[in-house]
Amino acid sequence: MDITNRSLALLLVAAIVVSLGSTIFSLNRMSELGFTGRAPTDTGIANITINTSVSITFKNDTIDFGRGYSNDTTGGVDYCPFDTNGTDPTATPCAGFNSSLLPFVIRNDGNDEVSLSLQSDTAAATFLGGTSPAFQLIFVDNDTGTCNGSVERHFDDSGTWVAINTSEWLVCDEMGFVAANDALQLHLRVSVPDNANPGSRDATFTATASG
Amino acid sequence: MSVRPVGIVLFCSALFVISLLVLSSFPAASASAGISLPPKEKRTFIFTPGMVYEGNWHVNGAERLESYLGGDLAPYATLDDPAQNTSSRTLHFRLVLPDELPPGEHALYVGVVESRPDSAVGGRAAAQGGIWVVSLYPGPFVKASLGVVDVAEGSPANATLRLESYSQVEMREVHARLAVYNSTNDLVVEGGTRRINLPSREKTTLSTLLATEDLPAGEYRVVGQILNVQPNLTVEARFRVGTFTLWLKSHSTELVAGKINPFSFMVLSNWNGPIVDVYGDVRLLDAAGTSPTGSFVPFGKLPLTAYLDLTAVDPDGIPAEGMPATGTIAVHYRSPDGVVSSVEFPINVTVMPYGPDELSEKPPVEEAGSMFDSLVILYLALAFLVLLNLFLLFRPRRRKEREDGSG
Repeated sequence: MDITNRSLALLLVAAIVVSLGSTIFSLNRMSELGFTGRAPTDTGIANITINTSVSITFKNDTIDFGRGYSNDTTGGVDYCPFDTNGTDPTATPCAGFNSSLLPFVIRNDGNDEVSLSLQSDTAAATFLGGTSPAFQLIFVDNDTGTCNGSVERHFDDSGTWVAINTSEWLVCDEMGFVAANDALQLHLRVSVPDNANPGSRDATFTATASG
Repeated sequence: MSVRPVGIVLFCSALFVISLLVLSSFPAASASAGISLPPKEKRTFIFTPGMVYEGNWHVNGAERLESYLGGDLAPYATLDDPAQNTSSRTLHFRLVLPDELPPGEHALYVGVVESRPDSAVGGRAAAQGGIWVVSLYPGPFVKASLGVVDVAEGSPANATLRLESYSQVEMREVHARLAVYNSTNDLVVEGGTRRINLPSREKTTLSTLLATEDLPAGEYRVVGQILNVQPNLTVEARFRVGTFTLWLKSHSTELVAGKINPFSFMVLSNWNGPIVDVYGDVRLLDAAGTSPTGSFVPFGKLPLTAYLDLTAVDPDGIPAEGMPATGTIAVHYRSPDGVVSSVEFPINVTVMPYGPDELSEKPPVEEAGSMFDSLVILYLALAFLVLLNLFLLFRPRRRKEREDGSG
């Protein structure tokens, strides 16, 4: 029996219609068929954890007091006091030391508040020597409110400057990290007696940020 | 074969080395250390015997960072640093807690610190992250501290008791008895705090006013006994009762005739608040000097210096043992109510004909930088190499040109 081309075309169309219909029917009933490979839901989950970054920078990490001495102008011991907070060694009895010294600037570069501590590896007797030398520091805000508005300046009975020793102490337990409130100045002050030990001295200040 | 490429390479190499040396001869402008670690709440744990905590923390910053472990839990931790004293890298550490820890908060710190600078007065940065383990005692257990604020005469003193529970159970009816002793250890004031219930792991403060209104100025000791906690706790604090008085602690005692003399003096404050606009007027013989203005912190000392011009005093008229002279220091200040006042102190000074070390020689100031220090010699050597290189670069070309011309 010969089948015409038209009959073949009709059979083909019918096969396509039946196939599409059964496919659509099956897909619509899929969720009622129990265990299948079809995913019952299509929820996507994006997960992210922002790490804490504890980071600290000395913007200015060197102070060069220069080379000089304290001139003896009176009968007693003469002292040359100068600092990074505006007191220059220009008056008698100072001779030779550098002027216009800048303080250390310590900045919290992280993304969270940190606890800042400081430790020196030397003190006045070792750093300068002589009769009653002074090697002192003071912290002040570089940016307002860096330490929640109250930097611990370590006041003691000697006034605003505090003697440097080799103990580690807390400077600020909540140092801010927002750009406008994240930096402190560490000023140093020396008072060089006229009988200070000659020679070159080094001092290292380690600022530790804990988070 | 042309030597020009070789010359260019040598020339560029020399320039690079010179640039490198010039750059490295400047001191580093900044120093930094950083560490990246999980948020704080993911690093705090309640103690579990044998608990293991491991981490891979990234560090960065200066060129040479030294890693370390710190805190009281450091003996229970190990650190794996693949490249000690380098810059950016990842540290691996492992903490294995022991079977027992005393009640309280314990910490392990993992951090990096910059290498110590070779010389100079320098700063170096360190950054560290903590892992905190809170150990709780099965029974009542508390840690406490006491603070008392300095006051002025006639005022009550505020005492603050800080309590931290490291107990697994709530503590009930916790309170403190406070006793104030003077410098001769006599009991002068008694007080106490209210009673509270302190839940497990809670931290709280108890404040109370001590009846110190009738105490004279001076330093006092407060002893607090904390009740209904384990172990029985006693805490101590000190405070001062201030009065608005200034006094002269010390001053220069020897001046030199015929010179302008710095005159230093130290003034003390017995006030429990700051005092501003403080300066001193010194008068001695016919000379007078005024110090710069300073301020007092509470109960502080203020060192001041004035300059006295004794050039009109003839040294030849002064005996070798010196001439006694009397004068005054008037200390001016702004009182707490804003009124400018002053207080005057008498001074006794000896005017000497000359200073004992006046004729001694001072150590010469070291010359700033020799002309032929090592860096300059290095630069000269490199400049010579560059010139030699230029010579080698062009010499063959001239010979070749001569050869071409003769041919």
